Amino acid sequence: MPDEPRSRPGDRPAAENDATPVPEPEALEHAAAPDAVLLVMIVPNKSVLDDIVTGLLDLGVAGTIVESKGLMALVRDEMPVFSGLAALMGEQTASRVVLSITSTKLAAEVFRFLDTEVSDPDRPIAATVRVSTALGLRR
Amino acid sequence: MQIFLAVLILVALALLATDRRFYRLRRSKMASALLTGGWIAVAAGFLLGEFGLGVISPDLLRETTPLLIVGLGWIGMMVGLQLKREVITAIPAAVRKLTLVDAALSLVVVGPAAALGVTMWTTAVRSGAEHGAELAKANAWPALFPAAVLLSAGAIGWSMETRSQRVTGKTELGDKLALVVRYGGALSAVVAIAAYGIADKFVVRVEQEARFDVGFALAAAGLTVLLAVIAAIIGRFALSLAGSDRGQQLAVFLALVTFVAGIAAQTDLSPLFAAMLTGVVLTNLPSEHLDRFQRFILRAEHAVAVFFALLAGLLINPLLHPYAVLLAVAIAVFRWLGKPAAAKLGLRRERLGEPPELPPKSTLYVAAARQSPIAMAMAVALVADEWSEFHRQMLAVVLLIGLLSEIFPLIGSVGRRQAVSSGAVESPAGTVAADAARGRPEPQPRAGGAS
Repeated sequence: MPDEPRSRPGDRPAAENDATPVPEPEALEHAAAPDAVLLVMIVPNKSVLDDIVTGLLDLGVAGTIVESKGLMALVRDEMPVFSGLAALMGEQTASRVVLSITSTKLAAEVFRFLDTEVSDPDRPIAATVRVSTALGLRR
Repeated sequence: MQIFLAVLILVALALLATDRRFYRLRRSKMASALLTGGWIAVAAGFLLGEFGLGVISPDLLRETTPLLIVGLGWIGMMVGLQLKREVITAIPAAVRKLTLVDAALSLVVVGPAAALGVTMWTTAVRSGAEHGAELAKANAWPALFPAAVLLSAGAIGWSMETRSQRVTGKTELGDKLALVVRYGGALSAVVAIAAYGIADKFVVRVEQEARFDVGFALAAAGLTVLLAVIAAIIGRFALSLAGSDRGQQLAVFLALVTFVAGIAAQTDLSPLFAAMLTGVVLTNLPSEHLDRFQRFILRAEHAVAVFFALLAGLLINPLLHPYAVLLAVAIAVFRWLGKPAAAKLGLRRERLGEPPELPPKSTLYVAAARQSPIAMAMAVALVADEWSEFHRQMLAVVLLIGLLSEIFPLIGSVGRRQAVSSGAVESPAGTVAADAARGRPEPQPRAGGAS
């Protein structure tokens, strides 16, 4: 029996290859702009967050910031050896997730900003995903 | 060369044990108890040591005493750095009350029992003379005092790890109790380090002879505070120079720990206590980069713990007199019976109030029986303070108490888990087991979605 072909980056998800027809973005009730993307950034510490927020404002990118915790911090949380009070220390991990629905063009500018203006150890993890529908966006 | 090889082996093992892939093991409740308690590392250290394969000899370890002192300073600083003003005020009143009840009970019960037990043990050894002359030398009461203080201070508090005990803890009250156990354990560790750091100095050694000196103890406490304040001010200045660079922050931290712990050890103060006080002062001084510094230092917690557990395994002398074993069993029995009772008593109002703020019953109360890892660090400090077979045996006694104290909560936890899986005990709402018990169908994975 031949192996199933592996999916490659850029492949359409399996669900989209099913027989069930997927509505075209235009046909959706709350269709987003064709170049809309969800920009996700995981900012490792608070000091660099300030610069990133300033950069996003300069570029005209709106966003929402969520306090977050790394996987290892979460694992360590239930198993302190000497530092059981660490969970009470505000912003123990201090990482933040920045979410923004923006355009491909602006997202590219944000990436350029992160690449050139933020030094390597502080540079956030950033990614974009295409958005087909959206509701409640403030323009 | 050998000494570097020994240190390299220890550091490599500590880093390996705290590698991201090994954290996968900690998701198992049993493994989290064994790993966080340090028992696997202790066993590995024991295997490498004099009484195992003999890869690292005790004489070699003796030469690493300065490193041991720096390690103690690291632990002390980690504990102290947590004690920020806002953290202390955020600790619930119930936790403070619980810590007070537990510390008082531990000192009142274990203090006299430890004094009696250590005296009986060393007297029996002196008459039998089968365990070496060093024990006989230690038989004078002032010389035994630090050992009794170690057992009493080591009895304060409990392990802060709660994951292995949370069989049915996924409820709101269970979560709150887990936090109380964690915070209480952490606060007790501070009390234990302070109690040991101060009480241990009531005995001074003049020309190999130990004698009581209250004046020295008071002077030592004052000097420790002074040292901590000076070191913290220097540390804050150095941190402002280091900025947010991690490499420079590590250099500042190592220099600070070496400075404080080294001076403390050289002036016969407690490195653990001095470093803890430095951490307390430093964390309460305004500094721009302190938060980042704290996070960075606390991240190494598990690696340092494994390193210390390996050292403890290497350093122990397991050739214990039956009285020493009896002493360990007696203290473990106190932990099994007294600690859960103290936890329930200390939290009586929160457990039995209307509505209760904490669960009236939980395996987490039994978890209070488990010895705090700080006891291990304090026992290593005793060996670093004065290298003797008696102190190595005391370390073995402390580890034995720790191991025995784990058994009862572990049995309780396994039994509870079996009861939950067999349906004899109700599972928390929202779990698959609870739904099955109520006759609800198990949720089926949705087509095309994650199960």
